Amino acid sequence: MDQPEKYQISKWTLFVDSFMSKFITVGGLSVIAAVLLILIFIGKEVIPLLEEAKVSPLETIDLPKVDIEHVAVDEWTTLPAFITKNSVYLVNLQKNNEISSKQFELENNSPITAVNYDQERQLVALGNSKGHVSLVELNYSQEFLDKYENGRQKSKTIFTMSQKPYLALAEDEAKVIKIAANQSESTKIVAAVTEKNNQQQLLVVTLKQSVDLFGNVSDDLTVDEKLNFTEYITGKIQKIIISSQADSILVYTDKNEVFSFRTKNGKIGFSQKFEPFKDEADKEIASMNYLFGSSTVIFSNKTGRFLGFSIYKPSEDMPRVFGLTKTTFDDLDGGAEVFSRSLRNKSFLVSNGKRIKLMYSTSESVNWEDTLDYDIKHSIISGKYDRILLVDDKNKLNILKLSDPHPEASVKTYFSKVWYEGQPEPKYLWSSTGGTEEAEKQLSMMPLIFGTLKATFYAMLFAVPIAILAAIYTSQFLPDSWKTIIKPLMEVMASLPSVIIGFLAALILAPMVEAKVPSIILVIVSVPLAAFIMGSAWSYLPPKIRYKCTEGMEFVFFAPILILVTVVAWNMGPVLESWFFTVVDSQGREIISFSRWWSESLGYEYTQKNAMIVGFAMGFAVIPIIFTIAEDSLSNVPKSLTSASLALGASRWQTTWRVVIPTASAGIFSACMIGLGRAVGETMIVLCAAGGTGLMEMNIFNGMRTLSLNLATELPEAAKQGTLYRTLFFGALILFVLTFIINTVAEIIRQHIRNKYKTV
Amino acid sequence: MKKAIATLVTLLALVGVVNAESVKVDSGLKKYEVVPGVSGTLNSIGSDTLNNMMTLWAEAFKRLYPNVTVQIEGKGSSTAPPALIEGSSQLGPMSREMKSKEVDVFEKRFGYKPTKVGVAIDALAVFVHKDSPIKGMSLVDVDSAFSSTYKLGGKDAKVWGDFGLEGSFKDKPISLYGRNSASGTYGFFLKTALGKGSYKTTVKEQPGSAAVVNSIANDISGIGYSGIGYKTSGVRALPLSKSGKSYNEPTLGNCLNKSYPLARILNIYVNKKPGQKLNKLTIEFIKFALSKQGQEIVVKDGYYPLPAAAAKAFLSALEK
Repeated sequence: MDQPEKYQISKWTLFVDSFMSKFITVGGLSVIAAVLLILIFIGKEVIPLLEEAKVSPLETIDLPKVDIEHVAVDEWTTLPAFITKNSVYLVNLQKNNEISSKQFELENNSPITAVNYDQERQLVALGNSKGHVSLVELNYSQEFLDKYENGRQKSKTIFTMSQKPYLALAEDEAKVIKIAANQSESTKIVAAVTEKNNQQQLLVVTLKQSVDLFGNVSDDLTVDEKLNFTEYITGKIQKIIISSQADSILVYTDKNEVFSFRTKNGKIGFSQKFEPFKDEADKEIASMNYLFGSSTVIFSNKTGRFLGFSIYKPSEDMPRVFGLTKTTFDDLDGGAEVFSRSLRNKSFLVSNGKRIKLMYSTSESVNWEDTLDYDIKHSIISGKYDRILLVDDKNKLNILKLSDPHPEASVKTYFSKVWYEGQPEPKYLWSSTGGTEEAEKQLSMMPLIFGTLKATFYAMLFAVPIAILAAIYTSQFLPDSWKTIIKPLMEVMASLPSVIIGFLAALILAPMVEAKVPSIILVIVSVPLAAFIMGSAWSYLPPKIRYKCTEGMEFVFFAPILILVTVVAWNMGPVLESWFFTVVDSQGREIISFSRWWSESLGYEYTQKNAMIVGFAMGFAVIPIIFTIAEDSLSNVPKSLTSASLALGASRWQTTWRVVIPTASAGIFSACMIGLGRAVGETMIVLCAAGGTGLMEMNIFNGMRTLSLNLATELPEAAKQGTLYRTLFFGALILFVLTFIINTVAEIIRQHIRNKYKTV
Repeated sequence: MKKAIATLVTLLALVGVVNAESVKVDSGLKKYEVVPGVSGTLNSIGSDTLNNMMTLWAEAFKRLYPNVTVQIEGKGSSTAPPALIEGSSQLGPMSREMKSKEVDVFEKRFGYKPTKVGVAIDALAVFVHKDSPIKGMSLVDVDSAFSSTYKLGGKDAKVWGDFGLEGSFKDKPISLYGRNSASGTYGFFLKTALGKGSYKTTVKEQPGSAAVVNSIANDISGIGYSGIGYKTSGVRALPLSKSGKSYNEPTLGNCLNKSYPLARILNIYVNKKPGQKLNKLTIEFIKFALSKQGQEIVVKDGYYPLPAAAAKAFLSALEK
């Protein structure tokens, strides 16, 4: 039966009702969708980090049947070259693989007996049977054509070589049997092993030339020093290598000992002798090669063990020497017969027979491995780390395409301690830009996660007690007329931009706190203590006096006393400092300084921008949030409960403690959790006041580097799609997951508490 | 009154001394001549160290060509290569050389390498508080203070007494200030003063060169590095030596003969197609920067001007 029209709900109301319910559903779902989209976007940037290196064959070229000593290649992989004892053979990949050759010049018609090639400097060193040495520079330049391919201008690579200088190294005209050379901007070093009458000598010559500020090299190359290092060596030398800065020479002998010669104060001299496989069953050295940057040397033995040695300072008083730093590389049966290194990162390629592995030194991981169908005799990684060139036993050149965009990325580099080059021990470190390409990237997430948690911890330590106690007081004790002023005031505080809080903290608070730490400690201790004492004393006052005060207005009497206590405590700070926080300096004078006492007596660091400042500032941002939500949930406790409690004779405090707080506990808890969520992701305040030092100490008086700070400072400068860019997004993902976990746990606990007090 | 005059005279004399010492631009530099037909917008994204100088050049350039707008953004040298590649800027000022990886990305996109033009000389200065009694430092000392790897042979220094300071400074802890990692200054200092090592984790990263100088001016035990152009009255630039105690002041002469070890060239990178000229606006701006007027602005900003021969070499490379 139809109702009369006037009792029916109007069509418009029904329409609005159904529209709004759909609209709200769509709104809610789109919020979830937006969050998921952010997650997908971050995920999309992070996932390529997991990709392994891809290697695929491009072409195979037959080479003339000559005795190849070394494979060389230009940075664009257009003119691979094969160095024999007499000539350079060039394969022109831009011109149907046409092969041409250029001969080295011979001195006094003596045959060349030793040849070495350095890819980084494109330098060939030659030694002949009469003890002479010379250097050949391979120069590649581009001639640009008026042709384009995908917007790229095409070019032709031109090869030239210049051979100089010629030096008579061995005065006794002994035959050069091994040679190595390298050069830095102003120094060249040639080291050679000569042999005459079965007697070996290790001879070294250093050459200098001047370079002006603009990098122009003058023609005044002169011999700086001629040295004979034979006396330091025992055994027959198997190999010589020279660092790319031309400041260090390493040789190893058939006795499996390594001798290191290093430059100190401009002069090269003996530095160290060590046995790399001393603690291994197989002590025989099979290979010894520098990695890019010449800070790490990779050794292998015949059983296939690989060890990495880096130069570092083992302790305060010792000089920098080689020490074992990398021991967990994958094995390769027979050791590294063929070795080549990347000139872009810490990758290196090792092979033995048909087996080949591309390894990465920082993470000690294998990025690619394969068993090919030919025996590898020579290998080289192109300068741009995009091609691998292999020469097999039938003198065939195999060109392979290499795609390894993120070799540094691995679980180990992100979450484990890594023994970085030059460091005295394995550490968690973040340093994404090393200044030069050669520096090892330090990408540990641990200091960032630690910094985030540290900042949050100190902020919550400061904010939670104040905010919650304030909320309890405001909602339960303060008269309503005051409440209406206090609450909006706190909400205004919440709307203060964090950049302003951060700048105030960094520019005003930090320098002030540095001088006044004892005062602050005293205030923090004495004010709550005074409040407690006053509260107790109040209850002992005769009722006559107490009842004169309107209920809830007691603070009128308390506040002046608390302010007085604060002022006294603040001014007592220096007194406290002079009692306890003094240090005696080297001249026997007593110095009163908390920061000095902290750093000298306790051995911790004191910095101006520290966790306490961040805690104060971030606490300031978080307090209003916690306060507002906690106050709401406390005020929303049904009046019937409090009235019943009061009617049964409970005091206001008993009612608050036993009835109101348990009932509102779920709300108070969520207030804290929302505050925590805000603190974890806070950026501007830490950016201004944290100092950005990636330390891992809980010390309240030094700084930290948080995930959000790291993202804010480094993301704008990171090359898009690069390893750093993706790693920063990985940091963002960690932050996302961290807040997600906090919120989920918080919600579960909140539900739990709610169920517990549902009955009340 | 007499006293006041005496003070004034002393002050004037002091100014005179400063002027006598002040840097003169090379008389061989060409004077910039206005050419017709220059207009449009020029964008520059890159180094913070070069930011002031770019702004001063842009202002002077706009006075010559009222139809030209120059927009300058200076957040760090690392921002220059991506902007050049994306074409969002024509000028990429950098206080260090481009790294090979950055060149790779550029080359992959265009087929040729970016062109470098040196525009000024900077003595990267090691600053201490104006009241610090330290006379000078060798690079080994700098390594001791800033490095955690000690590649130049330093050893851990925590208090000023480690550098032989006496009195109240002897036990003062060394408070380190540095730049953020996007900065070319960060990279150059790491490469040259720390021998390609790594910084101590206690170096406080500041967002700009001016922030480093300000922090040191407010911290009596502070030490930090920054371009000489950012020097203020609150700090002192230390004379340095490569090793040993014969310290050299960061003057132009010492930079040119390399006796001051932290001298570097400030560069502007441009995207120049081989065999083709740069567009008129860009080339005229660079010509202006390398002219007599442009180099006078360099001096005004506290950096050092290029010798005429170097300016000519950079310009002729652009004419190719």
